[in-house]
Amino acid sequence: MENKKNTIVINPITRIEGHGKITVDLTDDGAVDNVRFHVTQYRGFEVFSKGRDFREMPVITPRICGICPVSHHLASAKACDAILGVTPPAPAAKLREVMHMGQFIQSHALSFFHLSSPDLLFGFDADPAVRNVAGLAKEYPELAVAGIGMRKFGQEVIKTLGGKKVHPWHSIPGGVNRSLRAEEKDAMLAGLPAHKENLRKALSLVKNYLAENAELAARFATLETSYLGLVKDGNLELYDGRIRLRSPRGRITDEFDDKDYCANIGEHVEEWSYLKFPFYRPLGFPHGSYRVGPLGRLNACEDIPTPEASAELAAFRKTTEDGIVHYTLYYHYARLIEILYAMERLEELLLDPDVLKSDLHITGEVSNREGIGVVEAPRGTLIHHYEVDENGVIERVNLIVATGHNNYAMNRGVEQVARDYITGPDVKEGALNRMEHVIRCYDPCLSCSTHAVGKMPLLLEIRNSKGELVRTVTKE
Amino acid sequence: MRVFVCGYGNPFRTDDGAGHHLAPLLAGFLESCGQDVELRLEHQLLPEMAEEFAAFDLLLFADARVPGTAHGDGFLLEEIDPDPVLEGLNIHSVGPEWVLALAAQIGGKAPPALLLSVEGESFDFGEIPTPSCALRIREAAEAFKRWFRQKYPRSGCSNGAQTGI
Repeated sequence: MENKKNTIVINPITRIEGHGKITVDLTDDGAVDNVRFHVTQYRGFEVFSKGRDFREMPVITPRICGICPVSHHLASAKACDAILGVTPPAPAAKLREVMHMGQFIQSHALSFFHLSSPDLLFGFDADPAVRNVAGLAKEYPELAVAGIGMRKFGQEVIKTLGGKKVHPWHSIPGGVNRSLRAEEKDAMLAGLPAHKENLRKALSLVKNYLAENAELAARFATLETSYLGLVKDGNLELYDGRIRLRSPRGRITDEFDDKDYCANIGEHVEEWSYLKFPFYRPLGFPHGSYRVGPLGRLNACEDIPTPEASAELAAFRKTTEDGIVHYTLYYHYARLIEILYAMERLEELLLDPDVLKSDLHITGEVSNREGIGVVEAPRGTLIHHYEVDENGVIERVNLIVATGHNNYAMNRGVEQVARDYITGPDVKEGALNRMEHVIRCYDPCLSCSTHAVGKMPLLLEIRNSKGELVRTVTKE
Repeated sequence: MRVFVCGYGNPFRTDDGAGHHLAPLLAGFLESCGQDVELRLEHQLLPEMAEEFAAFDLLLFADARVPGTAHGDGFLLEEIDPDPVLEGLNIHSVGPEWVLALAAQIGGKAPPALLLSVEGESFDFGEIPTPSCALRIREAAEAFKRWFRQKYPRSGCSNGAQTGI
């Protein structure tokens, strides 16, 4: 039987951080045959870091990304701590966490307010001329200004400690290079109440949207998967905890130390994507696939250790009978709950006298030839693993980036939506936007290495089984 | 005249950092002839930048451009308008038009703006522009000088003025 197909290619995806492409293969009768989410840019950090002194890594690796450099900075510093065999003093760990909370606030705010909220507020089928951030600013000016303010606040926290909003330098192997001054702490504390109030309004908006669109939310790219995230005493933890995997039915499948990630997490490779597919080894691929990020963390943990976010989590879990929320659109809701947690945790840290202390650093020599650092990045669990020689020169680097963990789920989610909304090559703009929105739910950071004027607009290509171009659609 | 000069891109990816090399040349020229300049070097344009635009009389953006897209000139100098639809393909390629549109909505003002974009040759790892891109950066700076003198003949940046280029 002739296996004749048409192929739709959407490349690249709008409003996500990085370079990706969606390919939809159609059968002769126009039905969706196969869908793939490709990551087409190769970072190369694991290769070119070889031969560098490990102490440089907390400065080098943040260049992977302009949106979540702090996550790479911290995971790298933790891996370096492990090579030195030291535990940073308590003030240093708390100051790292202060910066981490700033990172969560700014990154999550960007994802929700600027990238995703236009789709929710205007609808997937709205005119693209309206369904954008300027449209948001026109119709919902308070929300747009609140989003900008929240991002700015998070970035100021990062800049205060790290000198720069993007690619800061604060964590060093064994600790940090500066503490907070009292006036800096006070300025951060003074800003929190207004941003918290704006966040409550955004939460209310999202909850109303999900309630009014319950049927869509329950169906849109929904997947019953396992969930992975860091926990401390079973509760949500973003900086330093054990890795927990919870099954789709809510059972805790496993919980292990970050240094044991190799024994538990494998990486599947597909020839059509640079992004690997991590999976839980005991279950194999694809059965051991899981989701990370806001939805993953909220499903993996027992509770959130701050009062207001804990109460919000309780409300979130009422969505389903067993409290496990598989709905992909709920990533947005989970993301806002995490901003609330980050604000509450930041307040706790700033009220802790340790953040003003000068006990910031423990020096040491190479005492371990291997170091593993794991943090929760806004997009999910981030793993840095270095091997060094006796002088501390990097011999091997393995990075499992947060976005990779969700690779399988993003592929499956896009496929589901494609099957729901595509029949034949005449694909409507709203269908394309729905497929993109699946990806936006996960807020992936594929690579922000380069950008330049003159990139191709969103392109849809339809090809037959011989690779001949049948039709090209440019998204205007 | 208050001028906002922003060079953006990744200075660790060879020619993607063209804006980082071009923007200081523009700022140096403008300062040398008495303009009040704020120079920014950024990894990318971000939404919060829109809040600041209203305080300026002119905005200059300097960026890299993919090869073969400058109509044979190696660089483009374009006066740009707010445009929310051409927001770019992702947050890293959000264009200045998109940020201008946001500025117009939240602040009611989007000052005149110019985009200078220089074709890159290599976007591999490296901190120094390729020789051909470096040449185009200098040519773009000279083109900007000519444009500015023509556009603002009473600015004090005449041919006889000291320049930083």
